[in-house]
Amino acid sequence: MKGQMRKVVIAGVGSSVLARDSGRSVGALACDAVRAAILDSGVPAQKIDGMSAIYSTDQPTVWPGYVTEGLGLSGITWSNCASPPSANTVTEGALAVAAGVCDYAVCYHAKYRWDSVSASARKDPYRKAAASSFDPALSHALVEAFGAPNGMIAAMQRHMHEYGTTRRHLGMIVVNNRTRAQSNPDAIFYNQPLTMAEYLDAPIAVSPLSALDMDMPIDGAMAVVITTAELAADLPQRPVYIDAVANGISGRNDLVFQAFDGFDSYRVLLKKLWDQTGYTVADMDLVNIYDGFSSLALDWIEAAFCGRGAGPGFLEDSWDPKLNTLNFLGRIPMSTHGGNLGEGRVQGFGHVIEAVHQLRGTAGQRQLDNPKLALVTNGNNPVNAGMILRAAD
Amino acid sequence: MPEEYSPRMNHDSAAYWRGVSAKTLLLAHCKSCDHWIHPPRACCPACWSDDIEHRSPSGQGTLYSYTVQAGPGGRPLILGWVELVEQQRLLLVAPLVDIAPDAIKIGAKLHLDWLPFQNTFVPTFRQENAQ
Repeated sequence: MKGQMRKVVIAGVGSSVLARDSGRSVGALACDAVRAAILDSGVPAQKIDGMSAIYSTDQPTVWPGYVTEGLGLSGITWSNCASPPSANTVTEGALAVAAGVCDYAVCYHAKYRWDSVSASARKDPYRKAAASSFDPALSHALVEAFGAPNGMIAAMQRHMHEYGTTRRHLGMIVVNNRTRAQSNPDAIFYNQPLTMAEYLDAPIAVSPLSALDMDMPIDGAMAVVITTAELAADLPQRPVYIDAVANGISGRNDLVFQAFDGFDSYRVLLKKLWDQTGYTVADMDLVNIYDGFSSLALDWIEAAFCGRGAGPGFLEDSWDPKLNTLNFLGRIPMSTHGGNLGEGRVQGFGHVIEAVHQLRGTAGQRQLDNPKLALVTNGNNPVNAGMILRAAD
Repeated sequence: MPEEYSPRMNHDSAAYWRGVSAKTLLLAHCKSCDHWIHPPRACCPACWSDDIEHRSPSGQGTLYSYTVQAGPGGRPLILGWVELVEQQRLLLVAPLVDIAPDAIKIGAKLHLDWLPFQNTFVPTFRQENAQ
């Protein structure tokens, strides 16, 4: 990052189990992930002095006090509960370490299959969510009975109308992510590949989207440990540099009334990342694109690579029908862990963890050949985040 | 279901809800720069003026986008994003009534109508040439 800031790195990553029914509380999952990340980093627990979480997206998750008590972390002197999306925990933690207000920040996000998600979840007495919800524009009351996701679906309907986008284009995104999940044993859709024909046969949930276009609700939590490049020299893992971070809330962004402006807000955010680093998207070796809905990923791909409305043609050019994968600009893979659509819904935090694994060479059977740079995009309109991560030399 | 529908309102949206209960669409409008504002706000996002009034638009609009899902009794619930003629991208989100899902066309001309609901009304839209 620019200015008089310290160079920051991700020194450790961790995850809880990812499951439809984990048999654990959401707080326990958060502690699982934080514990795993701290152990992975090799930082002694009593040296952890920063903690960053998310207060809510559609339902509250767990605040830092819960986790510090749960793991007996007694040295926290910088804590933060950021607004969504999930990667804001990482961007906030990176800024705190860069500014020198803490040396070792653990940043986490937990997501649960709450009773609001489905009839089967409502039958489970352990899945009752707290009452409050996230309402960025305080306007949902005008139409709240209809639900915020409708806005995103209407935005896709409009995209199809304006640009000739079809379900097959969305299918390339979904099938890529499901294909990628086949080399991720932790993914919720591991051992469940999907073909384009199967995708196109899926029943429509709310036109133009099927259930396959929506990320699978799961129980899961993930965490990273951030420190300085200097301090990481004494730690066991190969560090991954955080070259740039940004959190976007731009333009008209009400989820229900103005869900049509995702592209513009993503474009503003990505420009900031390129301006900070001097990179372009063509310099990336991996792009982990947020995919809460496949249609959101389409907007992100347009903003990153090809411009508004050019997504359908760009996807056609990038699609490999033999391997069932997308390779952008002839070489850049997307979401090698499977994304939210393949790995499960921890709301994009898996995209950060996967970029770290790839850049430090711990991605196992799905390891890319010596990647140097990764773009992570996170969230949707109205709130989104992004970062550029770089492998150590 | 409560006997009396009681919307969640605040100082900005109270005028909208008062209008709804009287079958009148009342939207926030900036007197300083003639800008319509919906969802309602107390400060104009275009010119920062606090001089906000509430006015009735004509109720004419075109369909900007929509979704179709299963509503009560399995009947399709069609939700429209209607761009009112008064201003580009002045959108009202409301059910479309008396139209089959496969007959919907983005860009169709629509007009406002009211559906009784418990102790109040719901704004809806129907096709210009329907009925």
